[in-house]
Amino acid sequence: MFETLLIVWRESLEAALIVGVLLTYLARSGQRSGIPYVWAGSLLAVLAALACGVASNDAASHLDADLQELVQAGILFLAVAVLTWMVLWMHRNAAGLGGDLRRKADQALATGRLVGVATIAFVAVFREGLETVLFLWGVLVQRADLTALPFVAAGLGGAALAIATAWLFFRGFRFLSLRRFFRVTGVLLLLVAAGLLVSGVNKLIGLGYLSPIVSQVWSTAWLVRDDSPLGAFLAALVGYRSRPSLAEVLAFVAYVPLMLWALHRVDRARPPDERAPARSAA
Amino acid sequence: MRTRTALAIAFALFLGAARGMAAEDRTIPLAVEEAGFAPAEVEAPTGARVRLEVTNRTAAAIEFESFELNRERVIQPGQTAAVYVSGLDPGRYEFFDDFHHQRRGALLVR
Repeated sequence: MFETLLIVWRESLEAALIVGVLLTYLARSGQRSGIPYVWAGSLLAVLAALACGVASNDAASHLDADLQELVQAGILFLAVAVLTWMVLWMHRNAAGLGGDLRRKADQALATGRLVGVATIAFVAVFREGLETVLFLWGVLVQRADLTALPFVAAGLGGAALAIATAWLFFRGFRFLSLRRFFRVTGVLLLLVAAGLLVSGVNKLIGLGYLSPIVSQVWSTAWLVRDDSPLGAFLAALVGYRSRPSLAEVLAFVAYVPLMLWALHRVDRARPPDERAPARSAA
Repeated sequence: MRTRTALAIAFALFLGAARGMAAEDRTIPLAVEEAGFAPAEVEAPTGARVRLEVTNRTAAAIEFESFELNRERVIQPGQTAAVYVSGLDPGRYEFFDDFHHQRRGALLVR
């Protein structure tokens, strides 16, 4: 039963962290109009995961397992593209860095961007939600009586625990000044996107479409085990794995510096009065 | 623009596939039954490109997972999934069903 709780905690954590960072970022950067869209995307994903999980008993067996995995890899790459685009416009919108402010005044968001945040929330929750549903559905099928109920309850408890973990994590962010907050979350979102990119690359390697180049570049299992709580947390947040292949490392190393540079350019492109309010013409 | 650069990098990585295709494939069937993996241990030669054909013969979804092989796949009842691993050094690589931790097995590379 405790194992059930742990499994669902791990499966749900990635979704909870991604939704958490979206909500935190939108709330503090004065883009609150996006918040209902994050919730809508998440809710729709839960419903879709439930529907797919239940339908999978007959329907999914018609869709080849490897094709399903390929579709998932495609969805991951789409998510990376949308998230990248989103980080850049969020960062641009978050201009006007008053160091002491706790929150910026609200701005309206364009429809495309609202759809963007809803899409990210949907993909994050659907991916993990479907696995959780399949797992819990399996528990129900195997027991098929009332003894399954405590396990399902443990599963729901695991999901609640994942949400609590994400909530606690982002609560810590409240103590950052607005300026520092944008820096930290901007970088964090990029790391999340990099993690999704690495997951997509990992799937293509597992399917045999992509060479790992070197199957194991290093092992950090002595430091952070994949199945430790910290390992699970880092895996959910930034796609940590203790024994990455060279192809995965290259994907990460190609993406992160490129995007940090792009963020840096957004910062520099701001009007001078916003960058240095003290240096006015007077 | 930046998205295009990212796509170009992704495509370049994709081309790395050609390199992998050249190696000889070794297909190893592996079933997941209620009692566990059958067989519980499989063998492959050092450096080979191995295609593990994992079939879920149980009534519920399983997740084939291995930290040592850096792989995870959810497989639904009755389905078979191909899991590729390649260029492995000699050693013992454990895998398990993440949805039912009592099911464990290993790939022996020698």
